Amino acid sequence: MKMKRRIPLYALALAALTLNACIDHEPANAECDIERCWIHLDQPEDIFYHDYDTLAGEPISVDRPAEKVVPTSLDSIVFTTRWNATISQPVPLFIEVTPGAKLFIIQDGREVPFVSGTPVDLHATAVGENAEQHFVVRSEDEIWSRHYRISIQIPPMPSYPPEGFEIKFEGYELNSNGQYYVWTETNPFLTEIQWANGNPGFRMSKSSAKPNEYPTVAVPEGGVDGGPYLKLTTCDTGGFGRMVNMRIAAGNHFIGSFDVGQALNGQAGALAATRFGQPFAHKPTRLRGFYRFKPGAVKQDRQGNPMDEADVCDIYCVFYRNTDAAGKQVQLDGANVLSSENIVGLARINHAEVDTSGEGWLPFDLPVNYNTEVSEDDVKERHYSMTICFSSSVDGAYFRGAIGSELCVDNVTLECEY
Amino acid sequence: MAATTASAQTEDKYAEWGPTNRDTQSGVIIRAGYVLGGTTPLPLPAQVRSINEFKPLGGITVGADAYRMISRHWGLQLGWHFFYEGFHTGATVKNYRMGITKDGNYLEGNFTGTDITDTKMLGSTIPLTATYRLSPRWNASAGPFLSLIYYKTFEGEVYDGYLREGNPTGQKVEITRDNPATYDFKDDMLNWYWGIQVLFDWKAMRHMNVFGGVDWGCSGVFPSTFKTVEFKMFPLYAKFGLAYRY
Repeated sequence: MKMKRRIPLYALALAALTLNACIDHEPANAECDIERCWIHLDQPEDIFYHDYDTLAGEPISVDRPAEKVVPTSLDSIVFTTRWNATISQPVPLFIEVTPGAKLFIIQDGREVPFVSGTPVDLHATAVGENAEQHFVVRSEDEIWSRHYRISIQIPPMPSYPPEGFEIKFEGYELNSNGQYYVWTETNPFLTEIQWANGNPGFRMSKSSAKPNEYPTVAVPEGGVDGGPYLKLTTCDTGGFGRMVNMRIAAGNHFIGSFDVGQALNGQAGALAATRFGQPFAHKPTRLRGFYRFKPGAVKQDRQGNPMDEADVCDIYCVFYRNTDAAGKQVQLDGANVLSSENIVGLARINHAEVDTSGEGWLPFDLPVNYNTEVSEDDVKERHYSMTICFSSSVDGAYFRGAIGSELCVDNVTLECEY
Repeated sequence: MAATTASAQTEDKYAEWGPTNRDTQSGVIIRAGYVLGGTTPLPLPAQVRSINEFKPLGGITVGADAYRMISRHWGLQLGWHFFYEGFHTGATVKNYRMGITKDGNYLEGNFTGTDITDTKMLGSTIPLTATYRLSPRWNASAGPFLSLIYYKTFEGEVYDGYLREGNPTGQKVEITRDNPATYDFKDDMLNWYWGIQVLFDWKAMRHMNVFGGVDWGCSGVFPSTFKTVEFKMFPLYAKFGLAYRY
């Protein structure tokens, strides 16, 4: 019997070898991305707040802050300078594309091959006159192409309105495919702020969902002033979610970005997908607003087993140092947004005091507690980033929560010292 | 004279190793054997970069063939074989078109990375073949067969790579080994397929044959409406074993 078992070993090796002999030549690459993009300046600190602002995109991961890649979802690359900078001379622009792909710049409507490092006119002024350059990347297999826009943007001078930064969630629309809601901040003092949420990840698990069946939804009427408000719901992710062991998606909404490419990549990926915070030139003191929360019936763990505790929502504001001791970029993600050593200020709702009746608009008022002195110069130099985050399930990042938990938020104000 | 004798001797050999029932020129062959193969796109598409693992699962066939010779060399054979066959394979793919449907939700795109597949089929095959006697002791037969599948699995996972959603310019979705995306297409499989059987029999002893051959599936195991797997998947199995001739 033992001898018999040995026979298949080389028979199988032979079979695998035979099959591999049938393998065709490697097909040409079909992808055509701008993978990395940066501009070169002799003295970047004159123009940018941080050296790393001359690199476009996001750090590959929290562990590799020096390496930044352009997310595949992006087709517009924008470098943001100091508010008082001016770009008048062409700047050397470096672009790395998918291996084998060809890069062209569009000049006078024609595609001209572009050599990485060539100086390009990206002039920009504070009044918003900026040159936008258009590029085309064509894949090695010559079937696919992508269009990109690249520009430099000069932000407005930071100023703090006496009433605080009011956030009303009124700037919403459906994304380009009409599948889910996206928000732009309408407060003219917060034009740089980007709101993100997990809707793009949910879409991959539930392509059939209607816009108002997503975890993060805009409700047009019924807010505190009668207008639009934000509704976050912990949703069942369906069959696909179970396939990747992500059974629920908590409704979330935060300042930062959502890297959908990481979203299905297990627990670590899901935590890395939520990139919290943006550089902020003001020192937050209070986060207040109105909420309404009703927990879903049964809180479940990641495996879908019922848990012996009630679900609760989360609301917080985090202020953190966005550079480490070596001068590298720090961006908090789901794994460390509430635990990083870089955090200097934190405001968070007391979960025991959350009203779970789900009726009426109730106020919340959360002071930002600081664990260290924060110098105004550093804040003005944008050495700190700020995020505000709302979630319908406090443990949503770990796929624990009750399906149906619903958090509504409106008329939020971020008060700052300056 | 010598030639005639030789011819007569061959004639005797043909008769000696001929059908068991000399009056009706017919007989029955009971077969048992081993099946080795897989369900594969043919030819292997360039998107498959390497096959790193291959292991047959199951792999037995038992059945019977009834045959009747209609001339010295030619005959007809009709069989009914049960089989249990399958395989496990691990392949590296590049820009491999795939899509997954679940509960009315659809996710499709081009995957680059590792694809593991396990498939098993339990069923029966009805081959109708023409038999030709190559020599007194060698028979070759070929003809169409129809396979009916009673039980089937087709499942697997993808990992160590990424999906470009929709097409190669779409959103890149990372899929790691720690958190593979699994699939199960058994409900999408057809309950039948047809193909061509080629079989060689060698009469080793008076009542004992050694046989070997191929069941070459000519119809895919998935309906043409099934777009998840870009390529038509053909069952292609070799079999060999022993047979008893009644």
